[in-house]
Amino acid sequence: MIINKKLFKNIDYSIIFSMICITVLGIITIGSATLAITSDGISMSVLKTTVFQIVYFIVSLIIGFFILMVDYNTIGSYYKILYAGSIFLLIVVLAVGSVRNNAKSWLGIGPFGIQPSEFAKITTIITLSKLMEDMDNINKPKNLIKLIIVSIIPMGLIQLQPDTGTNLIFFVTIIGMLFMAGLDLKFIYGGAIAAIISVVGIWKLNILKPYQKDRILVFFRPEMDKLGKGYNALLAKTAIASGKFFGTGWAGGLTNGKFIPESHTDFIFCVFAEKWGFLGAMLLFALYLNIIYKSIRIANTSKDKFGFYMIMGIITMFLFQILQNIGMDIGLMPITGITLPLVSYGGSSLLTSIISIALILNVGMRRQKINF
Amino acid sequence: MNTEPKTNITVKKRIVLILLVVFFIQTIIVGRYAYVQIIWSPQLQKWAVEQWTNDIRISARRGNILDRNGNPLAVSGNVERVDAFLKDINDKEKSKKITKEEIAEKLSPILNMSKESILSKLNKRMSNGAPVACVTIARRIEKEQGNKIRELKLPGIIVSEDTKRYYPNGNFLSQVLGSTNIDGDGRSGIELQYNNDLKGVEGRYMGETDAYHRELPYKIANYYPPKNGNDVVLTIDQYLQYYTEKALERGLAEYKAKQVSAIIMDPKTGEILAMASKPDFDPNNPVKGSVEESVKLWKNRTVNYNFEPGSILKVITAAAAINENLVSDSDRFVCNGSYKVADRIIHCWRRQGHGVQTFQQILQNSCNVGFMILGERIGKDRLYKYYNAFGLGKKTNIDLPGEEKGIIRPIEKVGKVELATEAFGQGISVTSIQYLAAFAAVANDGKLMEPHIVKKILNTDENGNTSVIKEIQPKVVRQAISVQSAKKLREILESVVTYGAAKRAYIEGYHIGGKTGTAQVVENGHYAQGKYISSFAAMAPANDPRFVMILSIDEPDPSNYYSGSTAAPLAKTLFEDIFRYYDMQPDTGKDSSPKVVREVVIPEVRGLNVEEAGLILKKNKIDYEIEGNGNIIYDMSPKPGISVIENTKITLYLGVEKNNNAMVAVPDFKGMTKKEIDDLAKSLELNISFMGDGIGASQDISPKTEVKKGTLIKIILEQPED
Repeated sequence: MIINKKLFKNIDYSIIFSMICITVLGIITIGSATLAITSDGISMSVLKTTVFQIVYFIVSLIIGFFILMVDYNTIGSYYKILYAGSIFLLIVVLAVGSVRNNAKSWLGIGPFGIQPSEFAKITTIITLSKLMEDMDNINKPKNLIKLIIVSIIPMGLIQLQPDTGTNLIFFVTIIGMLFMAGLDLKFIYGGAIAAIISVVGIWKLNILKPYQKDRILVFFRPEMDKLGKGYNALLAKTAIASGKFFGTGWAGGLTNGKFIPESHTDFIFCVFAEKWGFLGAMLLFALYLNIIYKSIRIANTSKDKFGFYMIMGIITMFLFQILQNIGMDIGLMPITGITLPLVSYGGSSLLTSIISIALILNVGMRRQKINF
Repeated sequence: MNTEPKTNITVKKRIVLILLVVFFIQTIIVGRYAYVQIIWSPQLQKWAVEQWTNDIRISARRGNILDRNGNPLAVSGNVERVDAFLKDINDKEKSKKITKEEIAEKLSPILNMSKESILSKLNKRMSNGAPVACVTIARRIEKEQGNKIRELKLPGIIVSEDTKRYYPNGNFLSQVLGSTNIDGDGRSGIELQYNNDLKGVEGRYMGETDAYHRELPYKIANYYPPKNGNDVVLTIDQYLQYYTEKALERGLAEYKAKQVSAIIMDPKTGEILAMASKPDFDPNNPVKGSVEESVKLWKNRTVNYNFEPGSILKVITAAAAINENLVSDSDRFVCNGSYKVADRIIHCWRRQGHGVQTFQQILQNSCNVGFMILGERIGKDRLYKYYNAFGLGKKTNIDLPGEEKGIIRPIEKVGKVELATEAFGQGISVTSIQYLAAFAAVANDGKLMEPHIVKKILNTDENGNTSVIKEIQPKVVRQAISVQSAKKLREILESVVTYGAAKRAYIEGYHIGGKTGTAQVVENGHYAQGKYISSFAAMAPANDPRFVMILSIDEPDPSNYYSGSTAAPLAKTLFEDIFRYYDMQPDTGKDSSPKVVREVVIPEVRGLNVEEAGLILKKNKIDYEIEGNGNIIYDMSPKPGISVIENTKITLYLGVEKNNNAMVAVPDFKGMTKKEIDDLAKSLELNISFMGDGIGASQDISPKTEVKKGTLIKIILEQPED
């Protein structure tokens, strides 16, 4: 692997710094949340989840480093293989995957497990970016249909698991990318109308499972049934509320006592906000926003459209995940099982987030044309 | 591939747009977040509390409290509770299977509750109008009732185990055991101190707490089964406790005291064998009358109260003097009734003085002057070194709640006068347990042990296997004085019981060592008039003590408060029970058993027949011979009222009629209590008038003077401070 040392000067180190800070804060919070899950003091599971997350982090950093070494256009040129590989994994998981939380989304390898849908997010972004770069106008029906088919195959497979939360990310990310690629406004308006019709249709035709409907209802008024359907939504807010300005500290707080479900994955932000308070949450926001604004800047100076589209896809994905995950805790969004990038426990999620950031940095460090 | 990025206007506009979107999202997240965490917070937390108090807690079976031999002292009875899961009921009501009225109607006769009160529970709502998931209908019902409800098979009505605390022996050991509150948590005593061990982990039915929000089963509440509590085994011996309480009951009545208390401890291990105060309470029914009055009774007098014990503290001063080699057998202490310290004259409790005494005698006589002299010799630094060594002014760390730590004056505030008074036991407050621990160190060859009342904690698992999860081992705090000093002091303490102020605790053939103390009660920083605390600390056998004891009588009737005549004889009855229980035989060896020369007063037997007189004299340990003829005793020699040594032979003269002009001898009333003087005078048909208060000090007609019956004798009483 040959790499020009000058390229390192173009790396935005503040993004790396933010990424490491967020992940480390996340690991500390995971330790605290799993401490809560076992009410009888520090048990093995605390150590297990914390140590696993540290291992995932180190592995992800190594993989991220290798991705930096390879020109993103070289990676892009393998888009067909990457896309086919991720589709293959999604099929395998449906065949032999294990069921967790009612969804068949895990491929077990030894004590670890991977979630192919997480990796499919990146391969789909790369594939769409590559395809859009080669199109002169994406608004042509032929092109648009091609893009929709490419998007729909992984989404369909994911819906079979079923994992509506991940598909929601796919949907928003793809819309974001198409929009940035100059999608005609008439499609956007048309899509919006179609969305409203389909939402009403889905609601009326009972396509959603009852629990999914309940979650949406509860989203609008969680306090109407505190012990029932609104339990999670309200508990999440209560945990955040008890954090107040300075937080309860590592071992304090309501989340000690398994009241918040999935407190180390989907509801990790509740724990974070409770433990580190308003102050801690503001720090976390600042670190995220640093990554997002700097990424937009990199996208703007990228030397080709592939890099631009890819970054736009990634930040749309990040932004939506952050909005959705934090939003559900504070009552802005309905409850879904979407992880908080870099913070939530889970190897696949962490690895995907770090690969995504490595890709953004990759575009940034190779933004200048090479002049010999 | 590497073409220029397309920089058309649409894309540029859309980059600006996405920046705006990011900014918008950022603003609403931060805004909403701040609102939840800062502004909405109090309301949310209130809801949270409401939420959790609406969960149904399934009490774990509380562990038993047992005595050292496994006899149950506090047990949990099996009772049941009825809870209703309203979601199930609402669903059934919707599908028209059953109504709440029908449920209430069926439950009402079994539970002896009105239909309306059950119905109102079934219709319960939260303060904000939201329905609740589950409510408790009734608690602590009998098993039969529970089974009847089970047979009804009502939807959403669940019968499960509940616990109720029983104290099978009622008032027995009540302050030590304590009691539990309505939630089954310990409120005082062992129940409070060991609540975490006894309690177990309560189970819980939760309305909607499924850990995986992806599958919310709305109807079924989560159930976490309870984990039963552990059994606590005390060091208390049920029988010793019973003897102690029996003696205290008697003491409370006999001395008309405000309170009496006692502890018996094993000096070698620090294990408490008995601990009681009277009056007490019934933990089965802990609140009687006003709550405030009840709470006072819950307190353990021996651990939760500081008091000035007075002369029993002379033991500590003596220990210091012996251990520092400041006294020898040839030392003489002269008491003229008072002693000048700095520019103050401090009196001995005996105004006329004790004369020339040895070191052993100043402890026997509890001579204040002797101890003031000793205090000067020791000096405050060394004296305080021993206060610290014996743990005065510090908690003993006994495993009971609310222990007081006693009060000792800060050393920098101790002048010559304070040193002198502290040396004879004034101005220092202790708790009974603290003093007893210090006293036990003398019994235990100088080693101060940490007192404890729990021996071990037992766990019984689901399969019924019992294992010891914690065993409390004897803990040596420190070596307070040397082995030799402790031995020497024990010998002196034995002489105090055999010959000294505590002789009314003496039991022939047994080696009892002890010290009495009578002190005025301190109220609001002053000594209260007419209010005393009489204490007696003792150990037996003094040569190798198996147990130590402290007995205190708070505010006995002022006519008889002197420790030597209240606490000491009360302790004697307790000793007799203990010796019998431990099967301790009297020592008959010639050098070990001190033979005491005891005097008895010859009773009046004239006018009685020979058989009657013989019985009375035998009871009083007087031998007799008979002279003359007749069936009625006409006269006797020496005369009644005269003190003679036990088993002295007196002569009875028989006649045929009663001698109406018989003379009696005036007895020596010195040292007798008012009641004893009264009783004696009545039996001799003498009239008495008292002056002053306390015990007999002097009398206007000297002892042995023969006077006519009915003669008035004036007796001056004095306050013994000891």
